[in-house]
Amino acid sequence: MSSLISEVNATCLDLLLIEMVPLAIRVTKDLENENVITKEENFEETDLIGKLNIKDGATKELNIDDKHGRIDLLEDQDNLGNNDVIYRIESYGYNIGLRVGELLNYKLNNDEFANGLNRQNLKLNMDILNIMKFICRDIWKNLYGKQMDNLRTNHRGAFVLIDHNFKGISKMNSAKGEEITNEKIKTYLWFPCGIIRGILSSLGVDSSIQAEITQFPGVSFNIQTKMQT
Amino acid sequence: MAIYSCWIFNRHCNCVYSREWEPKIPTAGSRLFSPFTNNSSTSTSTNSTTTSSSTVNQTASTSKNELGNGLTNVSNQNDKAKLLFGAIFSLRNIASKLYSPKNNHDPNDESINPNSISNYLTTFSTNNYRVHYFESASNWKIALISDPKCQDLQSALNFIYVQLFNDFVVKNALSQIDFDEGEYIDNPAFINGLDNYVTSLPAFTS
Repeated sequence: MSSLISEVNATCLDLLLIEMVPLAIRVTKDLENENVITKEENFEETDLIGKLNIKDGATKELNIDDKHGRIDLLEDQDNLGNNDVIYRIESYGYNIGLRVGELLNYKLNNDEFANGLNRQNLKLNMDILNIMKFICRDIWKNLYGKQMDNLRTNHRGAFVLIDHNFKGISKMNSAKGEEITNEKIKTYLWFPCGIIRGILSSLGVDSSIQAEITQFPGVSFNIQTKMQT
Repeated sequence: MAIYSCWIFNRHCNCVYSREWEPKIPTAGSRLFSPFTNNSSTSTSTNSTTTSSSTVNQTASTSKNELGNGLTNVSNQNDKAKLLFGAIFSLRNIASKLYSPKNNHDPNDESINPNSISNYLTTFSTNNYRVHYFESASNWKIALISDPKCQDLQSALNFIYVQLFNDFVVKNALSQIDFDEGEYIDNPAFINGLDNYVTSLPAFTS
């Protein structure tokens, strides 16, 4: 039963990620179209018919490549590489990270309290390396059912977290070959980047993060923190 | 014993995946490994099927056959796929017609959904072939064609649906789940995964 529950939970995260990118693209496109229409409105306020035509055209254009259960929206690399889209996905992850970090922090403290363990209180012992270990071990275990495989640092605020089999993308595979697959996955990786940035932020660390596919499905997260060590 | 081919149909009745493996020891008659060749009991269009599929096989095997031995997503539109679907579809409906559930007052009620009746079609066989069949509640249909002595492959079909199909089609963000006509499951992870799984089955090699 418990394995079934964790399967359902893991699937929820998978499905959330699958839906997030098309959603971000749709929202960005909608906003762009809205801008176009309001601009046109300003210029030709009297031309009602022209306005309606623009509206019609805009909605039709949206519907052509966005049908349920299909991936036509992802075929256009401009959609996936769009900065607005990336920013949106990253900030979804950031918001989730803020909350997840808080939840797990609380849960761990609570567990320790309940078990009467003699581990040092996380809150008191939170230097930057421990925070990274917290992400590698506890966060990743709770989100993806496995720990990070490797943690490297230059002791000057830069960290590299490596997951040789990142569960979030391990099932993604495009029919158009490995190169295209990796290219598309890059957009999806902004989500876990946002999560990590959110967690770090909730623990008081400012950072910028980039993810790279090393050897599919291996991913390395390059973290540059702005904290002095 | 051997497994000859695998077919997947979606709820729009299109064949979205077909895979035909080369038989290990080619024997007379199994060249086409179609369920309808040498089949005395089923179809009346046997002759037309064999001739048309043999020409398709020859032309297609040169064009799209890169993944291992045999054909991948080559026969989706030809008569073999259509006849297989038709045969399965009819048998499945006959099966549900034959069975009258005890709590149902009128066994001839046309409004009964065949899926809701617990008289599932799982397999049917002829002199030379056996078709193993699985259908999900969402109307995805998976069929494996093997030789008639092959053991029951329901667990294999279940594995294909639960593990391979769900992982590499449903949970794959880069694959559609609603297939138009002429679109096939063609991501390499699924194709290779299914190949590895089926060829590792004892029924495939023994």
